[in-house]
Amino acid sequence: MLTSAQVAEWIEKTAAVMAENREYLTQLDAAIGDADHGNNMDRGYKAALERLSAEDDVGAILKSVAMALISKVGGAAGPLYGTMFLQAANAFAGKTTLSEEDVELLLERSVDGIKMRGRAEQGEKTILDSLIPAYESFQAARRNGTDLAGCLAAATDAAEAGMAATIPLIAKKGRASYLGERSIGHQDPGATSAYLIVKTLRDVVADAR
Amino acid sequence: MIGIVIVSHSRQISDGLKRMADAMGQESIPVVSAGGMDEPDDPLGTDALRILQAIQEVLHADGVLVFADIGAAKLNAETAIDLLEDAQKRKVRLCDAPLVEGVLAAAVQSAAGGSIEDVMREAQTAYTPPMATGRETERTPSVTPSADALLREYEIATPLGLHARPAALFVSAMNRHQSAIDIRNVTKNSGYVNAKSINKVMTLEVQQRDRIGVSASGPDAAQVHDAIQALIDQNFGEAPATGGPPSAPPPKPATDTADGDGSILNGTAIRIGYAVAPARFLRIELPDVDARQVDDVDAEVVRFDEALATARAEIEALIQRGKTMLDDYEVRIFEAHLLHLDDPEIAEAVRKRIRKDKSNAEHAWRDTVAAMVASYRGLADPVIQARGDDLADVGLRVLRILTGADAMPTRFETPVILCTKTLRPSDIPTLDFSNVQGLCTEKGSKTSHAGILASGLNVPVVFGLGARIEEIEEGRDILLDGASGTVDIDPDAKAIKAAQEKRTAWRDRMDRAERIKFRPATTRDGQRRRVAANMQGLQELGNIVASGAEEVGLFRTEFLYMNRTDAPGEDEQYGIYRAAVAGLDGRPLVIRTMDIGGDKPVPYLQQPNEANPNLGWRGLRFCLANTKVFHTQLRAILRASSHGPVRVMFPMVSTVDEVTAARREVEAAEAQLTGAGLDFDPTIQIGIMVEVPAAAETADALAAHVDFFSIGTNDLTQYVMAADRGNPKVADLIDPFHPAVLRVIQRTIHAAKRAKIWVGMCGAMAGDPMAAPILLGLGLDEFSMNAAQVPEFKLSFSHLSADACARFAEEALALDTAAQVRERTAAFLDAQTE
Repeated sequence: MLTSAQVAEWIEKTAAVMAENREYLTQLDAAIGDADHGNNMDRGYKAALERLSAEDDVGAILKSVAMALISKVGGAAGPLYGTMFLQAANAFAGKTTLSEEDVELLLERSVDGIKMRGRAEQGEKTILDSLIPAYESFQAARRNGTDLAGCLAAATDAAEAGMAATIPLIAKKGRASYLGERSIGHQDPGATSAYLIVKTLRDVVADAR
Repeated sequence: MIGIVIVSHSRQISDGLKRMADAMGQESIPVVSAGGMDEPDDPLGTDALRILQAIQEVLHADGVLVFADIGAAKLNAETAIDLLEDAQKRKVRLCDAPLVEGVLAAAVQSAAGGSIEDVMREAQTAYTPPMATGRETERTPSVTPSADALLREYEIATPLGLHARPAALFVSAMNRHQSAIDIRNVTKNSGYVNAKSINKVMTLEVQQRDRIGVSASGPDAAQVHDAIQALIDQNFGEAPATGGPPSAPPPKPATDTADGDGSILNGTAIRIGYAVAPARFLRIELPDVDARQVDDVDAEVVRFDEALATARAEIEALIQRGKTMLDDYEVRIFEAHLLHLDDPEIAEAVRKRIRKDKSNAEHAWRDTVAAMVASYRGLADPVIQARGDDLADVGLRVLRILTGADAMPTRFETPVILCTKTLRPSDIPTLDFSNVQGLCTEKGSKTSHAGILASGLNVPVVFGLGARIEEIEEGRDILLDGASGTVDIDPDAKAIKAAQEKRTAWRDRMDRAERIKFRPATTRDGQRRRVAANMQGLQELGNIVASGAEEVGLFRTEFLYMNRTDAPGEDEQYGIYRAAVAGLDGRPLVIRTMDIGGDKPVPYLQQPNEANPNLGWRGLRFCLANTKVFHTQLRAILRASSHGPVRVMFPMVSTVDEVTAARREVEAAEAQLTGAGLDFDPTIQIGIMVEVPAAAETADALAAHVDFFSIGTNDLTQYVMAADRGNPKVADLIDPFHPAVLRVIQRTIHAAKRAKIWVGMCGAMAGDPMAAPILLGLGLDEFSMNAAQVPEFKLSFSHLSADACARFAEEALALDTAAQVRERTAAFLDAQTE
């Protein structure tokens, strides 16, 4: 079970993770994008932190994160992650705890949100390349009766593998796609930040145990 | 009507584009800029909540089109639209079109009318790559008008042909009719295209003197042609040339276009004087730059990017300066420069060249930009040609930064008369005027920042000669007359001789005027009068101080309220007034409260449409009904009065009740300041304009309530003569030398004398040396005029005798007609100067 306090903790910790990885994400983005992903995510999550309220239910927390990201990130990650959180938020209005099934829905909705906004599919060197494997592994683990921490561990491993698998891909979306074949050999910064988001959720649940 | 929301990563771009769209749509359609982010360190990006708010601001329109610059902005715009309620969402579309061309086309089509689909289609077909224009084969396929269509041909006389504003007016008019309407360019033998589409009309490249053929079929086909004829008759609202020196008799009804006949081109007189010299066209050219091999291409690219950033910062500062100087034209020019500077095509091409050829940045930049400029200039369309000039200007700026060398002012080895398309304020310091005998331009107005600066030059200047300026032959002697605002492009020997004589006399007079300009204006028999300047913006301070003016007799503040979307706040106004006080360095400053209304409407103040705005809700009448706006201005003026001699003056006063009401508002504003602990001068002088006949008739009663009068002859004349200043058919009646006007002036001055208050004049008559004998004779205390007129006015004033003028004024006022007054005055002046 995931409580609204843990969801809030997830956002707080992600903000710290984004700050730590600011340079790293920016470097990845410098290779194939416009070298702002790290700054943008850091700024967006800092803004989310300011709006975070401990009393909010899960839906309200996710919605406030969505609003902060679409307003403050500035680049494409803003509307993409913003829509992701907004889609998830709509499913959990008024809820203060999420079951394993709910967390799976959260991931499913996240994937839907990114697909809808970015009109992208797996294999195009985007956020989805780590997010879709995360969702699918979570779903498979839960069907096998694994607990929430285990499901999230599986999801994180899959996200990490998906992230690494973006290195040989040709970018098909966003500014990186202008580079065509020259985008080969670089890890996608969006897939990387998505991995960090999933991994942080795993850590929050693992710490609680 | 469809609203427009502009989303760009750069706020400067979206703000600049909004201004352009406002101009194209004639401010009649809602356009909101939603660019950039509120992050001081990271201002480039988009903010969906800001976009959402912008959409909501224009949701009152029939529909809303959102335009975004690149991918991420589009995603955020979509996100913002998704956040709307379903009913709202249906009114809003994200329009996939090139940002600049799309927004401008949409603005025009929206102003013209049409559904959201119509506007969107126009926006999406707006873009023709520059290289494709002018190529017959690229034209859209023509349509064939139906057999029952009503066909007619017209000749287009506007200087730019059917472009920009005239094209927008034409398309708007066509969209008000149900008939199917098609148009072709007969002169260029084009096919028919849809006359309701701005882009289609633009593809016809209708230039001045081209003939167009219009076919209309439908129920109101006849009215379509009436509407076109009406537009042609009004010359598409393009103002005919006006001007002439202030001392000239009233201008003849202006029915001609700006062009004039034969070898004479007519323009607007900016600076008096005469010149005969070879013509020289001023054109921005990029200097050659030596190619050099660089070893570290990465460092060279960085150096290039840094130069672009420096250029951007410089241009942004210029835009900011234009905004504080309220110079809309300047702001638009530099906003266009930013668009060129930010053009990724150019920058990317330069970076590529640096890397591929190991070329130095300045060489790569120079070649890339020069090629682009040449291709712009090679096109037939004058609007696109003008873009070439803007680009060349940006090119020079970046070159200067890269090479570190300041461009030397352009010097001319032999005497020339400079001819140019437009003169910008920033051009003036780049010219060495030592061999420049005169200056003329195709476009430009007296009231622009450049017009104001040029009026302070020591050479004759004529603006606005129109397209015929191109008939001037480079190197050929031309004759420029800054008094009548004309240029003779093919003068005969007799004309040249006459002009040279005038030039000698004028130079001589100017030298003498320059020598006495800082002395007080004193008559031969020792009477002193105050000579003041009129002002409407801080950019004039330099000219005013240099002119020898002893004070500012009229600071027109309505311009602070124009060309913006909300009223200026107290602090903003206080900043401007205080800067004026500081710049005048102890010279008194009369600030006139805003004279909004009449011929100076301000959209955000929601004035009703009036059948007779000049007799309507304007000046003090408007202020007394809008006390919030009025108090804000009064507080700002009062606060400025703590820094130097400031006087406040109310425009458009008719009755004593209005004056007492206005004084109450001043007291209220003073009480507010006292409450807030802010300083002001409690003894500030309060005066009124006398420009309404009722005020002049009851000047005795009014004088008891104020510290001074200032006679506004421009409005006073139109009200006394019951003749509209803007109507050329009654222009002959607008003459302040008419005895009816002179007698009203006399009554006003006498009432002021009896009440022992001072009386000045700030209309055009005050600076006219011809009027000086009568006004001096009647006892006027202060003459307030354009700064450029001050030295000569003081010079002619020094030839007058106050005693003789007093006797002459009595005599003049007893005459029957304005012509008689002028004739007698001319004879009197001749006798005085002997």
